[in-house]
Amino acid sequence: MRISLSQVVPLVQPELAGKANCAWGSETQLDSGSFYLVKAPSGTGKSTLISYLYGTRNDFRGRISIDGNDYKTISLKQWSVLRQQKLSVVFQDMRLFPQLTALENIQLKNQLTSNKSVEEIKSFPAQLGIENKLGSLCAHLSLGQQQRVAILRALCQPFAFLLLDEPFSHLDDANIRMACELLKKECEKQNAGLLLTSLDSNYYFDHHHTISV
Amino acid sequence: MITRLILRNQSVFQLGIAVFGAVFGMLLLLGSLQLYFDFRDLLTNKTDLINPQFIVINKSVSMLNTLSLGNTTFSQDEIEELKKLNGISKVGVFTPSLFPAKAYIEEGAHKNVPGLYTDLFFESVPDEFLDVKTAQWKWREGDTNIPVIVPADYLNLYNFGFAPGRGMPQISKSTIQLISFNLLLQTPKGEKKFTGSIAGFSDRINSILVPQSFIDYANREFGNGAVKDPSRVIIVSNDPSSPELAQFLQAKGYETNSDSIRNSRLNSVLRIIMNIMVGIGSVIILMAVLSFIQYSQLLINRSRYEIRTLIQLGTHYAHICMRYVIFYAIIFSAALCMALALLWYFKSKFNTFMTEKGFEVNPGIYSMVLLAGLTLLSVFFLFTIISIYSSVRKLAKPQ
Repeated sequence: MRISLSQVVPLVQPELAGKANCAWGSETQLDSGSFYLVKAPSGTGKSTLISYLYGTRNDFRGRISIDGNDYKTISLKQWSVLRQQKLSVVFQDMRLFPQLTALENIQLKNQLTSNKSVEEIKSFPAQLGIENKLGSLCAHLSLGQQQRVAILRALCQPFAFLLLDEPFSHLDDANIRMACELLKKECEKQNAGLLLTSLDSNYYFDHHHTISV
Repeated sequence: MITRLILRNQSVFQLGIAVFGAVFGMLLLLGSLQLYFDFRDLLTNKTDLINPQFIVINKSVSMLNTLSLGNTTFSQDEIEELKKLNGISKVGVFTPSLFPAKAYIEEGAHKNVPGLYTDLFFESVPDEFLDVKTAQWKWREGDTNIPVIVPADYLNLYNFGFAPGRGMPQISKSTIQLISFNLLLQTPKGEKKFTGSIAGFSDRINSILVPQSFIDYANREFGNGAVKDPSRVIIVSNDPSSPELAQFLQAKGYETNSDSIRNSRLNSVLRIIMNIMVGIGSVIILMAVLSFIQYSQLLINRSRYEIRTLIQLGTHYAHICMRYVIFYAIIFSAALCMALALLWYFKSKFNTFMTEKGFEVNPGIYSMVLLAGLTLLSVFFLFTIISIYSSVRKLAKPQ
């Protein structure tokens, strides 16, 4: 699967275009099977890029297409299918349901696709060290724990591309390492692409393309 | 789990008010419909509904008529106007006799029947308007006997008023039909003598009737030449207690002795009351619909984070709408059931009350009322669904 950006510029930040080696206002291809790191300081539109790629915002000039289909022509129904089967995401603000438990948050996503069995879901958290927090309401979890729940929720579906918006900002290095290993393993298993925004670190993705914004 | 997320932010108070409005409005609307049907049945007894009613109409007589300044006859235009009225299937005119007539029975001609001499007039109506069906009711040129129909009240007046006071024997219908009497018609060519016999008694028409064929013949042969417009007409109405007919008659200054027309005044008052109730009920229903729309918006607004996130996680927005639709389906059905249960309760109270007062009412709830309830339910549903779909869709769209 390929996502192409062509001359994409946010309507609210037109000044972002025109820089050299920049995703904004250029031709960029994202292919499944490859890892992309979007490294940039704050305020350069990293989250905006994720929103555009995930189809939750469309206030941009230019064209984004997924396997040749223009984003702006994709129907709401097609978006729900894409988000169940092709695109998975970890939002910067996680967007968990605080009134549900960690396990329920993960299951909610899995209910849409029935991709994993309950055993698989339960074996996941051990890899990120939150297995004893599954029954807690998300409202009661620390931000770091919430980030791990959000990552697990994103892995609970088939995807060809995984979009992560500063997913490790509240994690310590050991946890980041564990999370990276899990992400790499799941992406390789599904031959999926991965796009991760980060302030400066490469984390533990050794082979990657860097995209600047 | 989705249902739990999107229906979590309820406001019991606001929902309660909306439900109360819906129940109360439906009760008022359905109740007034039910009452209307009940009273309609009471006012127009069922036979009238099946058998159209015959109503005799005349103009009211005033001082002017006595002074010969006004007239009480119906012109051709006025008859045409009657024919065009809603619910009137037939209009017949009374043909008056245009010649003076006398009837007499010679003293001793019949046993137990006193001698009698009286001036008379005749009228006729087309046979289809008669309530007397008898083989005697015919007259052809050359016949010397003329069948006559008199009001049933005449015989009662004689039997129960006149005869007992004078110590005279009462006469049965069958006896009187055997009695023949003499008729003297005054014609320009002198008096012409016929015999007459009573062919029957009419409850419907308060006049001395002879066959139409005789009147036509006699007016032509013995009449004074003047063509008189009819002063009375008889109409057949399919809905005699309809206020429209009563209003028309009143506006025209026509008179009738029909009970059903008198009922119509009560009927029209009732209709006004029903209309007011239906009006109030509709306003309440309208407000209930609005408050439900507003409530659905409130609920969606309060759950906008959940809805948007669910959609971003890949839930189709129609799927979310469906959960709301099911929720409101349950609420609305419950409201309708409550309204019907209350209606049933009040209806049974009403039945007992009416039965105690000696009225017979249909004990059940009319299917029309149930149908109206279901229609209201669909109206509620339709508007709420439209509102839900449009606002959830708005949340689903990319920003």
